[in-house]
Amino acid sequence: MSSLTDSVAPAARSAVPNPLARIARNYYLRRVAQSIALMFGVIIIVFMLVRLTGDPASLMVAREADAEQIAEIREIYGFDKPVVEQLTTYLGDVVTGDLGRSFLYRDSTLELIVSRFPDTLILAATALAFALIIAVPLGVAGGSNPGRPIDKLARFVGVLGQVTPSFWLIMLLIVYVGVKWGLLPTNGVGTWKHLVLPAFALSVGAMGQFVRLTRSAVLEVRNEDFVRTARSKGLARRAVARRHITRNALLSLVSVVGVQFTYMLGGSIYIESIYARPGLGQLLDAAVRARDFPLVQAITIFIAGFTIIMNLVTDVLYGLLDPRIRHGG
Amino acid sequence: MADEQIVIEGLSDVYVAPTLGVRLRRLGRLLWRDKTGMIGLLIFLTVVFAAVFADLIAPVDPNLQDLRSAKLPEAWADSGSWSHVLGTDDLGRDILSRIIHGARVSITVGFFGVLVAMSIGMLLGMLAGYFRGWVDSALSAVINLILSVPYLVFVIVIAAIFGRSLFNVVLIFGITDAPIFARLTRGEVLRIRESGYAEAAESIGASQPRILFRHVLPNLVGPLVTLATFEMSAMIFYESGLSFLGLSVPPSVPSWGNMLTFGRQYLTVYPWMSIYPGIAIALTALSMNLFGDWLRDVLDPRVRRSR
Repeated sequence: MSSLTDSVAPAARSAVPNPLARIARNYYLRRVAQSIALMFGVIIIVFMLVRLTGDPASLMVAREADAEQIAEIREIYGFDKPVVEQLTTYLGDVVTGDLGRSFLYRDSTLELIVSRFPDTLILAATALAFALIIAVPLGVAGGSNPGRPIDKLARFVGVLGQVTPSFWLIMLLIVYVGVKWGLLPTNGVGTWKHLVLPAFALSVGAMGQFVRLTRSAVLEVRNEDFVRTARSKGLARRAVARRHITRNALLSLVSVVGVQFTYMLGGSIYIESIYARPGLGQLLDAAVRARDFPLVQAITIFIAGFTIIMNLVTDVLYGLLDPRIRHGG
Repeated sequence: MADEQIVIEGLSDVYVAPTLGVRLRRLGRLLWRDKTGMIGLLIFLTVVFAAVFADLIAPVDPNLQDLRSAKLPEAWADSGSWSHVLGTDDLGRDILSRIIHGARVSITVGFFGVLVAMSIGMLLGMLAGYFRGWVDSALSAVINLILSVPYLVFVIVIAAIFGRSLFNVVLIFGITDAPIFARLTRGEVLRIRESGYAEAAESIGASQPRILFRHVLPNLVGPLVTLATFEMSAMIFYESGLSFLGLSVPPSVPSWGNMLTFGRQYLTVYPWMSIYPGIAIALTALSMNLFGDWLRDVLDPRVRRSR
């Protein structure tokens, strides 16, 4: 833990006698320390999962492999050594950036992931943009006019988004928008047109949640004392709606945007394999189907790491925007 | 509402808690008033009915292959036939019958998955909320750890490792979803213990088990039932996704996700093979969400305010 404090708060060391106590007091430092611990926990869990079946070597080879091949795998990956030794070796490898080699592609798993990731990142970012652009205005309009048609529409979109399977929606979009009407490409990557259908299909789950959340947050904030104060001091309705209601309501979105973004990385496994986009999701799909466990393991750790960093960024952002969080404990 | 409060002569202020029958009747009246919740429950009961009596309802054997009537579209299409209402797949199997039988996989996974998750989660959550201290810290750490990996990725990895069978899928969902139930239980137990009535019970000398069973447990029912509805819907949703990736039940078993996998190969030529199983998934999830929303509004007074 001491090396951790060195890198995080070099300036504070002389002032505070116990660096651990300082970490515990500072909200941001505490979250960073938690995230690092969490990351190690995830690596250990993924490591243990593959070994839970008893014989990871037989798991990693094709079903028709003979005993000799299994023994070879066992030796290459060190499965014949004690588990604790395997774990420390593995942790050391991961920390130094070595996530193992893929069977399927006969290449470094990290390099594969890094080469595939930008495509998925673009897809997920576009999907997030779709979700926010549609959901926020709809949620605000619905929450500001409870019971009106626009509110009914918001509730409808909110529920529909959450119950539509993305892998089914992308198939429908390909059949109708792509093939029957010929408006957009039916598969692959390239122009911005190739992004529209997969990004929309990937966005609906997040869109549903955003609409519901924005709507209920607006409903709640509308009844707060500070809104009544703003109105009673004679502020125009529009100004109250914009400055007091919407801004406070959107605060609750901050905490879920990051979570939904990481869900999209998982959801890309369907969208990318159906739409033939060579991204991280398609890589995971291929790895699972080929039982390429070093690659499955590496992608899981990568996505978990990305998620933990996203959550950290979200919390820091939230702490900056809302002082109640960082002083609340 | 005369049956809600029984007034005994001479003791005019004695309040007798309504019996279960009275409470259920009151819930029924509330449900009748909320049409979306009612529709949700009706659709969901239809799916459960289809799952239980699939053998009796399904027009034909879901695995019966009939190549002479293969690749038929739905009945109302030009070349459709009313003997196969939702059409047939590439092997001539009746799609409606397969959807009805597919409900079995979905409902089994949803029901038993939630049962396992709720049992484990409730036990762990009550332990953590009740004993606090290091038990609480350790359990909370494990819960946070599991919740920090995106759920879909987590489930895919475990399913890929442990292989495809209905039993494994139920177990995977049951264990990976337990932290959600544990977190809710822990929070509720902490809240109830701090509340006035638990303290009051303690001060008049009620034993710890009595407080747990008389005061804590009954108050957990509402939030847990609501969560169970949403989680069951989520499990049905995720099971179809696992099926679609070839990680759930074997391909020979009719399940909605498996049907979509077959449909995908013929997507542009025989789209009905994919359309109807997807509608089944969406409709089931929709019904449980509508019913869950209603349950939450009725059983959890704290959110009723924000409606």
